[in-house]
Amino acid sequence: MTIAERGSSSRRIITIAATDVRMRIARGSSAVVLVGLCIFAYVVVPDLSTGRALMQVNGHRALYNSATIALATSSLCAVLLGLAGFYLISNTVRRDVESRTGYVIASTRVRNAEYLVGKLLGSTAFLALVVFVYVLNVMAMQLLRGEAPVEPLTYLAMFVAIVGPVVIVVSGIALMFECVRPLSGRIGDILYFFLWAFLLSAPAATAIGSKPGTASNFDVFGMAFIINAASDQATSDFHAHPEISIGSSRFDATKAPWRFEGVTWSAPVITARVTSALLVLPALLIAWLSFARFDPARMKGGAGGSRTSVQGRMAAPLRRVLRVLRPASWGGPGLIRTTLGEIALTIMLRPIVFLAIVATAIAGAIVPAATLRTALIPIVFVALVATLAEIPTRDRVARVDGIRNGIAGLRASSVFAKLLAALGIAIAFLVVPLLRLLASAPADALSLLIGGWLFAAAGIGLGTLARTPKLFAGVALLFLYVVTSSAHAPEFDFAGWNGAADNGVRAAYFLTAMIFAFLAVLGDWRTSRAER
Amino acid sequence: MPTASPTTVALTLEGVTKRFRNGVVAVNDVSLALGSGVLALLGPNGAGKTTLMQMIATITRPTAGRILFGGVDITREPDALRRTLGYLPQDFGVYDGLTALEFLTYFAALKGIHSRARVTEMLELVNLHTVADRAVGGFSGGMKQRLGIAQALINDPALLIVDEPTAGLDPEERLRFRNILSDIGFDRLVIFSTHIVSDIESIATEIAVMKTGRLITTAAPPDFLRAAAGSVWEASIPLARFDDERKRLKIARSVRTSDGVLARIVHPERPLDGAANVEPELEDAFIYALSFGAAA
Repeated sequence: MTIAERGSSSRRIITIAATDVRMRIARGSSAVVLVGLCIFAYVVVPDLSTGRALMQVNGHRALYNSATIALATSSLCAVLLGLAGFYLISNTVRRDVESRTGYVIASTRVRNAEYLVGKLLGSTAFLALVVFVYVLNVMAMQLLRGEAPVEPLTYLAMFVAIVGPVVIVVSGIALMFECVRPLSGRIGDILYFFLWAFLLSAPAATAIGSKPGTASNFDVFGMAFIINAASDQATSDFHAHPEISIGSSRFDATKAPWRFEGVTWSAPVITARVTSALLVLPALLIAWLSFARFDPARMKGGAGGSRTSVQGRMAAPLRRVLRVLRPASWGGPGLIRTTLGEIALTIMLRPIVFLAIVATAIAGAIVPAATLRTALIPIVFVALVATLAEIPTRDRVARVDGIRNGIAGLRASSVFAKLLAALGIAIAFLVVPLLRLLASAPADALSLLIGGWLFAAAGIGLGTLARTPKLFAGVALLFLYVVTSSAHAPEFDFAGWNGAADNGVRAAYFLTAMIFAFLAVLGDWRTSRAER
Repeated sequence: MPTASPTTVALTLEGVTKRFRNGVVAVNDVSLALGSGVLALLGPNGAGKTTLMQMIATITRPTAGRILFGGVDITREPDALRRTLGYLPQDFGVYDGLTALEFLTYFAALKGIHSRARVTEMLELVNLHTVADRAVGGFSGGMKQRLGIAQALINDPALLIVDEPTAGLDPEERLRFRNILSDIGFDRLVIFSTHIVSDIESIATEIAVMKTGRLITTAAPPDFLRAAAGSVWEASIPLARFDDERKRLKIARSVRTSDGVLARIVHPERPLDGAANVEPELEDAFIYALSFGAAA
């Protein structure tokens, strides 16, 4: 070699991590996230003059000091980042696959472990940066609305303890999902939602009223830690089992504010938080064992791809049945033909969608009314997330967008066809529940139809605008979690399954859906302008 | 240009085979022994060129056979090759958010090169130094390809593997790139796959033709041409008969004339009355090897 070649493992890892962060920061969506954080920080720390407070214990609002604001905002940050963070960073390996730069990396002396640790650190650093911006915004809000001086060290300790493990573990899980082939697609996106819900609720459920123990060692999101931290002092102050509320809520102004003094950083508490962060290790190990190092023979989409996979072989008989959907023989106006083509393409690409529609129709016809509302319809919406998310981006990913745009008339009708196709698929999934609700509660049926249109429009709108299916998947799943956790709140009954929505709520969701549809058209216009 | 250093290159393929899980044999029992020079790997789509190159580049492992570089089996010890390998995959993409300088610095660092001067030198080599600080997301296809070429050359490789590297380059850039490969090939090994036979005309020291996973011929360009000697013809075909003849014969090239079509035909025997035997060109020899060669 004439060129001096140096390079330690640590140097390669840092290079990979630093480049990953640089690429993420350069993306336009990062600016959107940072602006969103500013807005979120403004909303999450309500002005006391509005009658709402960030945290309450037994009806007493917590005084706005650094301990209170740091505890409450870090807990909300942990919950949100735990879900949204996954979708924000789970493309780090796929980027190298799609750009084929992975082949070049595979042909260098970079070890698999170096690559994966570099990617993990890159994701961790990016999420940490997001959290840092959020903390700065929250501290600014304390300056604006607080009742005590800002204590940066209190914020630092609280966010490191609560959000630190989330940042590390979510980065590890996202990497693992990318490396384990069956988890690397839309199924993985959906499964992560359930994993998130489990990790969020299980340790908290076991820790209420108890000291840190075995469950809190797996308390990635810090729920048990937060409850313990607040309840220890509250129990002593109120001499009763405390009811703690975190998040903006109305408070009783006649009750004296409660002063939260902060967390006692005992060795068991610190150990529990460190231990929960170590969950990243099994995730990293699985990622390392599953990482294909861009070997086309081992990767999805490589030679011997999906049509010959187990799933592909299972779907083969179904494909023959679905041949009737082939759009070449269809007539009719352009928009209708294109819409039917989009629906057919969705089903032909994933024949399991057809099976899911049939299964939903059968289940919708036989399950009791209560199960229809509380189980089947929510599950259908999760299935809709998986089905609709890739419709707006699949042409670009398959690199056929240029071909499509070259077909006379298709470019202009494309986004409308996608919106109508998404609505058509949503209705196909929901048709039997709709008919049953129509017979028993027509207003709820209208809500369900609006809910289907909301998801259809949001799927196409967010996908077209962000040019990734991840944003819609993350936002929609988080929204579904909030909806299912707020059974009696009319404002969250977007699809009428709780029977709580009124006409105002229906109108608001319909308007929201129309805004998403407008965003789809706007995103499409932006893309077409860039193509010129 | 990188300063060429005398390097003994010896790449040996022994019965290399790649069978995918679905039973498809992409590369079938390929054996080759190569020293320095430019090996042009030709073959139709699906011939197995890319898979063979990926195996040599240590991206995927052969299911049978051995690949030796400098006497070391690289399927067991890939680092023996990776430390001195340059690889440009087909349809090479870029990270849109990085500048050309950042992009190249990244790959340089992964290869253990930390010299800023070397990165600048490579950008100059591929004529991207004036746009070094521009985000590569806005580059044309040809500019991205040139960046890919720069990353492949950044570690001054002893073995350079380039898969369809001239796709997307304009004629001037193609010429520049051919000259770079030719210079490197003096004392190193370059493996260059392409569909465009004219790309390798002036630079190949060895030509290998693949078809359905098999290596059907390997020869130096003069021998490759010699194999087709006496099998290339020119004939004027009336326009009315041309479609029928085109289905029956291997026509390398055709030009419309006032009498009909002047066709260049590859065939072991005189294909038409009045056909005149002509000297073969590489394109003709390639068609001959695919259609009439001993292993075809």
